[in-house]
Amino acid sequence: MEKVKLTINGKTYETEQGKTVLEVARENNISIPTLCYDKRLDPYGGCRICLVEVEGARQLVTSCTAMVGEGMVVNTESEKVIRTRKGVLEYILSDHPLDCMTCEATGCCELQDLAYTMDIKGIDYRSGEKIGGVIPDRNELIYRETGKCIRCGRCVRICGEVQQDYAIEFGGRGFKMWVATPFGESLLDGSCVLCGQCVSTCPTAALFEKKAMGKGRSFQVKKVRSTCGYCSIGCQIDIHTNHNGIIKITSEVGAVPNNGNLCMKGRFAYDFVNHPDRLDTPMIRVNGNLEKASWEDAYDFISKKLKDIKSKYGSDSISFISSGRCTNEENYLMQKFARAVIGTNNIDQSETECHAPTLTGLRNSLGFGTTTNSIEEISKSDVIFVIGANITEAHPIIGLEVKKAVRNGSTLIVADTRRIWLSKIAKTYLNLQPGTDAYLINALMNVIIKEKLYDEKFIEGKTEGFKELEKAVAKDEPKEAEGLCGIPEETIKDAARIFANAKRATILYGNGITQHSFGIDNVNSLVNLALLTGNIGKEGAGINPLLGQNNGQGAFSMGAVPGFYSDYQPVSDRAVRKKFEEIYKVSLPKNKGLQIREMFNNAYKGKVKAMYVMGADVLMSEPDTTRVKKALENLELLIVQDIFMSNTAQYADVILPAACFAEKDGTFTNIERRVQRVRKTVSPPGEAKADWKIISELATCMDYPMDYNSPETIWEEIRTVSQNFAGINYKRIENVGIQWPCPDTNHPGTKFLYEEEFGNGKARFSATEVKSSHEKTDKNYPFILSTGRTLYHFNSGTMTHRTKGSVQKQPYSFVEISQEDADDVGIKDEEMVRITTRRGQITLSANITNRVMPKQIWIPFHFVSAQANLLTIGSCNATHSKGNSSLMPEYKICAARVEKLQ
Amino acid sequence: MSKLNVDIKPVRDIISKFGDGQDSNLIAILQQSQDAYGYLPKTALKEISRLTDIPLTRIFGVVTFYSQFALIPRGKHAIKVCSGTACHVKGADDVKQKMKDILNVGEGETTPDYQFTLETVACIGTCFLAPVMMIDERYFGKLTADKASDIVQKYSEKTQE
Ligand code: SF4
Ligand code: SF4
Ligand code: SF4
Ligand code: FES
Ligand code: FES
Repeated sequence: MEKVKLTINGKTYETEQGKTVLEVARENNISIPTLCYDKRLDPYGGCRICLVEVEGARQLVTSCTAMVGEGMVVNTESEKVIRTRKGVLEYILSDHPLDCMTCEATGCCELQDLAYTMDIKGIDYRSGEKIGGVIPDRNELIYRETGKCIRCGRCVRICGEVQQDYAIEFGGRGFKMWVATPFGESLLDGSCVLCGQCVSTCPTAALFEKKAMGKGRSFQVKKVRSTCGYCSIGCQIDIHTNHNGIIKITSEVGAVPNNGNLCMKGRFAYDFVNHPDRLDTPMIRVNGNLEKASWEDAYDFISKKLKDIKSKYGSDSISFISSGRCTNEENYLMQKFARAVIGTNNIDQSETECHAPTLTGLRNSLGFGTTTNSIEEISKSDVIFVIGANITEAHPIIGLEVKKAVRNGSTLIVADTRRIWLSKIAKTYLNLQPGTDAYLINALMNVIIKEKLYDEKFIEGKTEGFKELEKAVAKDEPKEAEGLCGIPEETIKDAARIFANAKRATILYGNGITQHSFGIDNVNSLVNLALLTGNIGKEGAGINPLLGQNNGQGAFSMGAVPGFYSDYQPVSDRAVRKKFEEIYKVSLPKNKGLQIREMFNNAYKGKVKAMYVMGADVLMSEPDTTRVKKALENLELLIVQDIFMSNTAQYADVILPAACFAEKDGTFTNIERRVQRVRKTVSPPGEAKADWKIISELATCMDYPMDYNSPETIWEEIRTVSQNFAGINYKRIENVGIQWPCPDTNHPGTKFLYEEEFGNGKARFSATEVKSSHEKTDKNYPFILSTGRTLYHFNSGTMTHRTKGSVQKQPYSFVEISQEDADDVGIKDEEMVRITTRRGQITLSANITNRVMPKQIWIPFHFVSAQANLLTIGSCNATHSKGNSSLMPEYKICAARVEKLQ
Repeated sequence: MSKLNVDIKPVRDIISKFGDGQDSNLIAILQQSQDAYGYLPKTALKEISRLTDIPLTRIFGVVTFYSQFALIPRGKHAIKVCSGTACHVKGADDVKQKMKDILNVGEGETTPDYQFTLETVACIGTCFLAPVMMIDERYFGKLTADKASDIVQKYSEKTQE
């Protein structure tokens, strides 16, 4: 960046070309008022309150749009500036109701603040025209009041530029201008996604959180910074509470990683927190019924039962399911409990069912089984390859980064079986047939190798196994892929060239890649593609799995997996085990532990006798529900520790009520390996306790004292046993999280991995023979069914189904089906249909859409009323287990039938 | 108001005429659609949005920005009563009130049978005839309330035939 010097108010500043006068002024603590400005938006220059005087300019200029120039002389406080600004503000106020005494925004209104600081007294000129009032809208989240609108356009712009949802627009003109939805329809009816971004940027009370109204002004409420408990982006949130609990959630512009942006779930889906359905006391099953019990009784019951089962059937008859929803500290304790207290490596968690292949694939070829690069780097990539990930719904804030990048000129390639939102802005959309990802990726590599577009230097210096790869993909001609994937040969070639010619290309992939029985091949192929083009170890590049749950990343790295202790230290390594034995002061099990899927298979067969499930609704989330149910029924002891009476909990012998993310301290690790603070803002209901506390007390009760007095003390232990986390402590992450690896307290954390070298010295290509092993369609089951996430709900929906907005926008489950197929089956939009697979059936409403291709259907898995996993396949492809922990059920593809409900 | 059935074909034809670059032709598309329908029906606007990929909100913004566009159906005949100074002095208010009474609509509204839309306009340049009204493109001058009423009556008889 070229440097320029300019003078502001008589002082000289050096800065970079390309900044605005306002930015430079603010960086140097020179205050300039603004109203239509938001850092997240393009410069606009609409309100004119930010006027400054620039020497040589004929008129005052708006500092939010004026770019700095060499030798510029700026005055932000001249008499003329002050007078004019005052005039501007008086004009704005002239048709603004002077309602501050009853206005919701009092105390957090930019207009009010300016009137105060600029000392506006008694507005002389009232336009007299009273315009607009409250806009009636049946949505339960966003309040709109035209009278308080100052027409700054921030809402319209954030909806168009950042969200790109185009749900609102100015209607009319002049003084009669208002923020409109088409035909005055409700926000629920148009393209609005209820993100509340418009509310977040509105400087006045013209847009406001309905749920917060009448619950206290900003200066009367407590505000605590924490981390969102939904998806894995780990948005920083500010939780506002009054004496009754949470009243709203906001985020600060500038916060890492989300820069003040939040999605509908993060901003509004907190109603579950003090919902009457929350579990608030321990329960024990007596004569078939769950009865309330004291904590002592529950601990005694569990401890006695576990000891019994252990002595009768051995430690490995007990299994533990930890949780990507819980904190790092809790996951660490859970694995410690399994290994040190019970003596088994049967510990796993539900994120495994999404990303086991990621863990294994990335670890084997690169060194760490995790995301290589950071969220902010997406905007620095010139090519973004999104495959098997519906980012705008499952990872909305990363979706915003992708949208921003494309808007600024990056090229987007999308490969998905469905016409997802991002396909609309993609340069190339590869509409592939289900289960053909590896064919496609291999074909891309075939082109890249044939046309010599690969990064020879990188391959030479940093990788091994290229020759094998070359051989393996030689036969995967794009022509052949055309037949399999259903994508024209030329399109594949184009995509390959675009990807290979990029200076920085990033790969973002999701469950569409991993949740197949051959998911490991898909992941390996993607790694190969990234290595082939030298896109690992540099900024704006990398291979980035989009883990689903808020702390799936942490659950993996804290050792809640059968093969590893914290920090991916292998259980099979004797030296490592010895180290942990010294710290845990017990001898630790050597047996290979069971993966979550194997736990259920073994319970089904009667080999696993007890299960301890923390923060997971396995009955909903595991494939082939019917079989899982049998497995749970077979158990002699099922302990469920959760915040709601989930489907799984109904089978429990003991229920332990837990605190949710807003009710406890600790840390989550987000998708980009950033360890971030979670803070207690409200108290858990009744006798519910934080998971870490429950585990510690139970361990103590079982004669293995765990006397941690806070999550911080647990973290201190984690640091000492986990080299890559050693440099992170609570003090350092007070304001901004740190990305591991971070080996010592002077280390800034690692933005992207492998800049110097790979974990295993060199990165390894793993040539894969592509295969397809999914269930075949036939006369009786002619459709290919796939499942996934939506924007408005989360996992099994225990939280979002208890939340306004989510329920209003998406009250019940649906199946996406093409018009063509709907005609064949004889159904109209929103008619009820029955979906049957070889394992079960559900009924739900039809959503006729061109998002899915003919002969394919898609169902979200968030609804208890229509459990998608009654349909999916539970089997794992045994040939892929081979001792590498990448067992994966086939969630994504099965054969199904659609019938009209008579 | 009785519900109008909107035929989607005219708007499709209009859009297809523009081929590429529909984005920049939005105003022209809207004008022609208004000519075709007499106003801009919701279904037509939704169709425009669907076929051009221009967000419906933007279209709605444009439509409400320009006063030439109407979102509600207009009558077959537009009655424009002048309310300029000269007409006002000569009793335009009586004429206007009479129109409201016999048509049973307010200003800017349309009769339920979609025959008339009543509007007031600023001086239409024929002050020597004040008070003046226009029905469609025809001028009627030196009005009294009763005279105006007779004229409108004739129009409605004509349409009944
Ligand atoms: S909630 Fe989001 S999508 Fe809806 S209008 Fe506001 S910014 Fe647009
Ligand atoms: S509603 Fe708020 S953000 Fe939108 S234009 Fe009005 S004042 Fe600005
Ligand atoms: S994007 Fe994810 S982390 Fe961010 S607010 Fe939404 S659910 Fe929470
Ligand atoms: S803040 Fe600069 S013009 Fe509005
Ligand atoms: S005032 Fe009515 S025509 Fe001039």
